[in-house]
Amino acid sequence: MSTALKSRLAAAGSALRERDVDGTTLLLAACFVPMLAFFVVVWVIPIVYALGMSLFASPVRSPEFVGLGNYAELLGNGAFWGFLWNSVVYAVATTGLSLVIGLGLALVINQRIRGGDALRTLMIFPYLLPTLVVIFMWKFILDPNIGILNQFLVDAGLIDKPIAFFSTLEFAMPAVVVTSVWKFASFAFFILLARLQAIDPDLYERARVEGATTWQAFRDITFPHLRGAILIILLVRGIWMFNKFDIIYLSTRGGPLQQTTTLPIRVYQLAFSEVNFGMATALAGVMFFLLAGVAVVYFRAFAPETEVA
Amino acid sequence: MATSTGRGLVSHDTQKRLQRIAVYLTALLISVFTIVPVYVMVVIAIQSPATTFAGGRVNLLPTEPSLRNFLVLLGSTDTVRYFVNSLVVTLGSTVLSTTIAVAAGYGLTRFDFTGKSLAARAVLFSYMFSPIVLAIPLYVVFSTLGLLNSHFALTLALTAISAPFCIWLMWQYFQTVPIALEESAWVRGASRWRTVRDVVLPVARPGYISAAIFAFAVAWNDFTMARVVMSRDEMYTITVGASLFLDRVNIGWGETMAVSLLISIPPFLIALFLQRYLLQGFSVGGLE
Amino acid sequence: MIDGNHSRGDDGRTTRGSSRRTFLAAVGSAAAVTTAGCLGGGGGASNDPIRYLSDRGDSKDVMDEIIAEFEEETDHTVEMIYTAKGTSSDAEMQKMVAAGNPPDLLFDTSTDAYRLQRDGVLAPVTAAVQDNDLPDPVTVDGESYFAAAMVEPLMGWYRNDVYSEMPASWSEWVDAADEVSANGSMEGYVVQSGQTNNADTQMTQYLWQNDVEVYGGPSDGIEVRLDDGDNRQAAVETFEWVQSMAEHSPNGSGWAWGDAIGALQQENAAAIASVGGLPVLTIQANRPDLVENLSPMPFPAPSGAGQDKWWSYMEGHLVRNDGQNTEGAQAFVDFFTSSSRFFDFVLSAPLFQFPPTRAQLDAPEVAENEVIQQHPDVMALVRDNWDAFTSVLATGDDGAPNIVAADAYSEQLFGQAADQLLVGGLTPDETVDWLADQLRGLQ
Repeated sequence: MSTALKSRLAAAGSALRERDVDGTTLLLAACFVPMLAFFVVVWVIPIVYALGMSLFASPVRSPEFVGLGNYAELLGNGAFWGFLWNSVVYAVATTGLSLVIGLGLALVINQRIRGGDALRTLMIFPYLLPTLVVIFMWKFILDPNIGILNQFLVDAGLIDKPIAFFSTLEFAMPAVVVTSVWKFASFAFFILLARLQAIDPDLYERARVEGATTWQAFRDITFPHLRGAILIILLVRGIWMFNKFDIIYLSTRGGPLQQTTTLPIRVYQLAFSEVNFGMATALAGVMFFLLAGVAVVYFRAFAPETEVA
Repeated sequence: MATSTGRGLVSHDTQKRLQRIAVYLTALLISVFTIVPVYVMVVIAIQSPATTFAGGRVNLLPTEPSLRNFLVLLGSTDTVRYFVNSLVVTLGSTVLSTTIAVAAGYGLTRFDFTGKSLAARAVLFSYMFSPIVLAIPLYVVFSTLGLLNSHFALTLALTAISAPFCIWLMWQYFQTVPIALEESAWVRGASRWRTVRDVVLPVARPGYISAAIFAFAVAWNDFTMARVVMSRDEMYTITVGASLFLDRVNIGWGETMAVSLLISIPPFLIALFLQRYLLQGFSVGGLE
Repeated sequence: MIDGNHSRGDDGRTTRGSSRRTFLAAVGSAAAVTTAGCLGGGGGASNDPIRYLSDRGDSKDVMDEIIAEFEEETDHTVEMIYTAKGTSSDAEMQKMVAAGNPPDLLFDTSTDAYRLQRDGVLAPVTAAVQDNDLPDPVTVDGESYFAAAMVEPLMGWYRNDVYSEMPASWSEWVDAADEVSANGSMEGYVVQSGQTNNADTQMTQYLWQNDVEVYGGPSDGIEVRLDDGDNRQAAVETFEWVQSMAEHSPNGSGWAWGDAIGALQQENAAAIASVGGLPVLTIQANRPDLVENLSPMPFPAPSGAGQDKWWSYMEGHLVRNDGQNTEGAQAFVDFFTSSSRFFDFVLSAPLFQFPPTRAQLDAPEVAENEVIQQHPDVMALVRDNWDAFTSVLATGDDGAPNIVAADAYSEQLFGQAADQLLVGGLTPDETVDWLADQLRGLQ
């Protein structure tokens, strides 16, 4: 930009500011008041209320202030660590598999194969389908009597008797993970595909001329470009899956024998089956601090350039 | 053609061909994995249960399609009313969420003020609360205000869930809109307001459409919030209503898959007609 | 990172700040006024709507008609709240209670009624019970707290084309099931285990078939007698039999009612333990050709044993005493129970739900129901064994309410015991010990 133009713009800018100060203020207000009001009513108040509730035992019937007592009881109970483990396993497995599948497919589509466009359109679908529908589908497929997976496994001689995947101790968590991955792999896929398609093809051309193998090209060109996106996916999806309630609740209710009970399911149980809102909100508080801690560490360690400030 | 350095056990051409096969194989596997459940749903929905289960097998080749399941749905259940409820709250929260996101995203990008980084962090951190965590106090708050079982309350709750990510999306997006565009409008004497309305918003269209799509998906899909806020049958959304089907004696897999098909139609239409915007949204939201 | 933030004006800031403060103050007071308006009003008047929580989605139409009649005759209005079956309706109730607005009226089991009564949250429905001669499982100091609306007895079903003669004793069952399994792809039987109601009721019933006295004593002094003397021996025998039958069964760990029915429907098994005519109702839609090959049966019993105790769910109305309109709810229960539409409600799922008294069982409305007419064998079975129908609650001495049994059922301990036996690898002996331990742990 020429100096003359720059100074003209600067003059126009300050003129604008002097002339239209109120217009700007109004715009500022219009930008933020809705967001602020909204957040206060729908987030801040409930969360403060919830944290407040967590300091009481049975807060609705006969509240009794116990300070951090609920938290102590939670963390002291051995079962808590089991539920935490389930949450971690679920989040890591789902996010990891989604990433692998998403990345694999993105790399494939990026090669401009035939049918690539159709496949890309197809992949939007799982993400947009409601969780309930996804669960209906997979419950049908994994059913021990009418499920096609069992039919296939038995016919192929791989198993003797059909397995009730969602109700069997060893297979409940994998079944839930597969259902979740089916729905969420496309999220990773689209982000990575967009990123891939933004990479300058000349880079690859030069690499090929210099004799790099596919693997080397991937390692030295593709991966560095994807690194940021991968980290974002891991963080965002990881958090989201850690907090996921509806998939597990609708498919197994946390069973069998609490094998798939993650922390959000436990919160629901504490709140509505055991009617202990104090413990439920305390657990929710613990979840939040865990995730916040992880997020802070994550940002510091991996991606300072995506710091939100 | 340059030869590969280092280990060249296999000729370059064979390597390329193997890679090609691997690529197509991966594509095929993932396609099958994605399509099969959808296919199953469609087939079961368009066959009467007697046809599906005839002979003790599960017949997945639709030789005798019929509308029986849909007729049962419409006749013996409140599917239509649930559908309408879903549409109302979904449209409401989509509009609300997108509006808030555009306003906040623009503000976060263009303005500087004390507490801004705090506000930005708050947006991200609110994302870390599981909906179920928010649902409990929201239930008590709504109950106290007498707002339970209202479309309004559910719309608010759904917006709460979708707004953080939408704000973040628009914030990222507005950063790709150069201030120069606005400045050149100011230079021509336009007020701030008009600039925003006539210059910024049109440019931001792909961004806010993808934010709207995201908000739509969250709301249409939602089960947790609807389950908590609504307890009267006539207010149930389609997801909650359909979840009760599995427990009913007179509703079986045929009707369940039929309602699943109905629920899938709006997302399908979006995928078909608005995929361009969705992709753009992903390309921005995932970048720095 | 492209940062769209541009210069901030020092001069602008003060002016902006004060304008903003004024603006926010205005918004704040507006919000306060609106909220105050919302919070005003709403106290409990005795003509508040009666809030009725039910999981009987299948009976919605009938319920609506009954409510319409009730609302015409009285000043009250009824607000229906439907929820999913089983534990979810409990969760729904808890949710409402926790938020400080409990429902007035519930449709629930006698077991839950007993538990809630012990918690002191129920209001009596004595009039409805006395006037209609209903069974009275939850009664304290002469007041009744549960108005039964239906019974749902367990029932077995088998393929009459596979088992030309129904096996008459446990050993016959083992042999017959073995033959069926050996002959083809169909298993002879289905044994469920795990934390499901199907598994729990099945296992309990098998113990009852072998005359095992799981509990004894009065309501406030229940003892676990599972592992005492003769009972122990009988219990071990039961588990041994279950173990043999499981060899001719699909892997039923974690199976619920629908899974067993699915096995029957897909011809994966030739006999199952279920509840009422539920299998027929389902299979009629999916495999109409198979229905004529299905016959009902009592649960297998060892040779010589009769059907003394036959598990039967009892469901009906309870009224909470902390709702908005307790009197209205009580009035509704009276109305409902004496209503001519009562049979419509019960028969909205025929063969599965039966009226709660013998007299009503023989009523013309029941006899004229089409579905029931198509399955006379089911009615015969129900009539013949009516006196043996027992709810899990009434297992104290002389049918006294047994809270331990109720709690054990809500955790499906008997089903879990079966799991320990079949999947966990415990011996029948060890299983009995495990179960007795768990039961005592509830006390």
